Amino acid sequence: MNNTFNMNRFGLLLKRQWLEFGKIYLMSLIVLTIIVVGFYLFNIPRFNQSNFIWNDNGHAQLAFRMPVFLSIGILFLTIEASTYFSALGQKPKAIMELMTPASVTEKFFCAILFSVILSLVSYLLIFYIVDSIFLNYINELWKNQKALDYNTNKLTLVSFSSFYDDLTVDSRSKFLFVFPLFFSSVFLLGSVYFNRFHYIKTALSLTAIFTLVIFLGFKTAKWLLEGKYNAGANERDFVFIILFVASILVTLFIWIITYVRLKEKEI
Amino acid sequence: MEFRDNKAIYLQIAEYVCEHILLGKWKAEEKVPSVRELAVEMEVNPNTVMRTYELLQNKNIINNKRGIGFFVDEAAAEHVKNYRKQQFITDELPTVFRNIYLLNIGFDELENQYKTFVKENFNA
Amino acid sequence: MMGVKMLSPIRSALNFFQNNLEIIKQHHILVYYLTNTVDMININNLNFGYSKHKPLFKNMSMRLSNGHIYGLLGKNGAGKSSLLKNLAGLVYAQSGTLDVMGFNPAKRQPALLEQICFIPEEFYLPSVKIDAYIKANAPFYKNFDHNYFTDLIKEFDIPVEQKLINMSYGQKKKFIIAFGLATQAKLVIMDEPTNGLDIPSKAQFRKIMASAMTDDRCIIISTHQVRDLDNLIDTVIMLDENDIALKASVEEITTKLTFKKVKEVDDSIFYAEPSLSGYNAVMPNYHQEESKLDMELLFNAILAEKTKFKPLFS
Repeated sequence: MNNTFNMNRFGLLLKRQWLEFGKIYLMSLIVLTIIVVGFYLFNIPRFNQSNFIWNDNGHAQLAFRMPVFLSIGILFLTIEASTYFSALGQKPKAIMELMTPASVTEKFFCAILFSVILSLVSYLLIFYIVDSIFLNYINELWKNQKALDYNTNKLTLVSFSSFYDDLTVDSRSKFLFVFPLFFSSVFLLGSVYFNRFHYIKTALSLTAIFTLVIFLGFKTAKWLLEGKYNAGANERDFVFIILFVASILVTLFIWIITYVRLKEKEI
Repeated sequence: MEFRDNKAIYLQIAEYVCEHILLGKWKAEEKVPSVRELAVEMEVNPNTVMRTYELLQNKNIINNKRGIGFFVDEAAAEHVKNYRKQQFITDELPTVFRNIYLLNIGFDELENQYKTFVKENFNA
Repeated sequence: MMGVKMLSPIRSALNFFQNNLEIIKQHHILVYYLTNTVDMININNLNFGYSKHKPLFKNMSMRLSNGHIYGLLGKNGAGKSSLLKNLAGLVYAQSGTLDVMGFNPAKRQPALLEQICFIPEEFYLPSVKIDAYIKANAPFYKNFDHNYFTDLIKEFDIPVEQKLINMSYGQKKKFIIAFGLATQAKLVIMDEPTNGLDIPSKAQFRKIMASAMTDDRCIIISTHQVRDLDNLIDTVIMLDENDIALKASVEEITTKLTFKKVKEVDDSIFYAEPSLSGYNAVMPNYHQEESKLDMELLFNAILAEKTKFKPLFS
């Protein structure tokens, strides 16, 4: 018998975990949809409003979307991640989890698949669906209405861009796609690491570490580079790449720690 | 079954089996319950019942037919009586003797008592 | 120098042999354990504690084999649950080795996990019906016996239509016992199994355990309620003062000791407790008496007079 990874057993484990995780997950999807829809309803652009943000393609942007997308996204992903292993903090549940005849590797990948990949994909999907439905509705509402596009200084037929157009307008935003992975990996680790109040404790630790890293980063950068160097536009891309690579590395590193913690979890 | 406190469980189970044989509930050359069945009925460890059956086998009360199970011996009733007699002599008689000695009861008196007892209880 | 060089092919051959042995071991291990009466559990110099300064077990060693129901006794905090958790791989020893059917339980390998039925004192069952639970969990156990499970559920009188989470503690407990036994696991570990069972359920439990005890199984039950289980247990393991104070079969104990009621206490008696008509006493079995083991009395006797019993059982 393969004691590290067996596809059949992994399938069984996915089914088993779905029984428990699935319910919470589906409920949180419903709550998520309601919240996103709520934000859209409150932010339908009114006719007397004329100062749109125009993008290069001559579409008007809905400015509320980006902050909503980011903040709700982070909240949703981190909550999903921090609930996954929360069972391990309660002895009676943890015993049942640990005694299930599947390997640590299988249990770990199951966690990643559910709490990170499934959550991320479903979030993007839900946001996309809600956004397209609303765009249909709003564009219908604004049919044949004109407003001044300040880029071209012409009265233009108002049509709103989809959110994923907004996202991809700036080529650098693709680098941002690593952040959800980073955040959910941290909260997944938090759910293994802490026995109680996973979310709060993880959030506090993360804030503390961030503050420290940024503070130290600025200090060393100042000390190293003060008065010697001026950053130009090109270097800014370079910084993004460094951030991107660093986030991937840190995420992988956190996953490894999570795996080890899971392996060494005692009741 | 309620077990008493003063005797090893495997002996109490042996008594139970003997009782069934004497009362004719389990007849000669019939199969007796398997170790597991009797253990379940008595709510005891099967190893204890195994010990009982080994004892009863030694006393020729039951036989082990390999692969089939345990059977009541042809002359089981006779062997049960022998076994009981031997048990009575070793376990209970010393106490009786002790009392007879201490209370200074004569054998004649004892014989009369015994005869009345048999008459009253067994009409013999 | 020459010697070392000449040895190297031998050494590599030995290594090769050892590596292969590991693979062979993994493959044949279960077959081996299923066909022989062997030490199913081998504990060697185990040191364990929840903190470095407060050791719970010091250099504990013990072997347990199949075909037995072991009764694990000990005061509160003596480490009964901790020993069981060590065996199940839920906690890790500080030093020493622990071998369960050829595996190290700390590695939590599926091949071993599917051979362990662990019934903890506190457990959690999800909010689903029995059918759904079985569908999700039974396939992990290759030997799961569905018919046997149905029989057990009937015997235990567990409502099939109710959600597990809404059942009473006793019903839940009976459910996980039924599930655990139906997995056909070779190592059955139960922590206070009769806690929370009502009187008829306790009798059902004893019947079920009597039939579950097969020659290829090793059953370990920790308990405070000695009277619930004393006729099921064939070997007593008693924990005290960081070690095993006693490990002996009921037969061995009643050969060496006798338990009886006495009127007066004299020097031959190891330990006595006052009762309605005199004393319940433990003493060496001078006259080959066949007494019934009084587990509670033995337990108290060993706690009180450890040194008197040591020479008898070593």
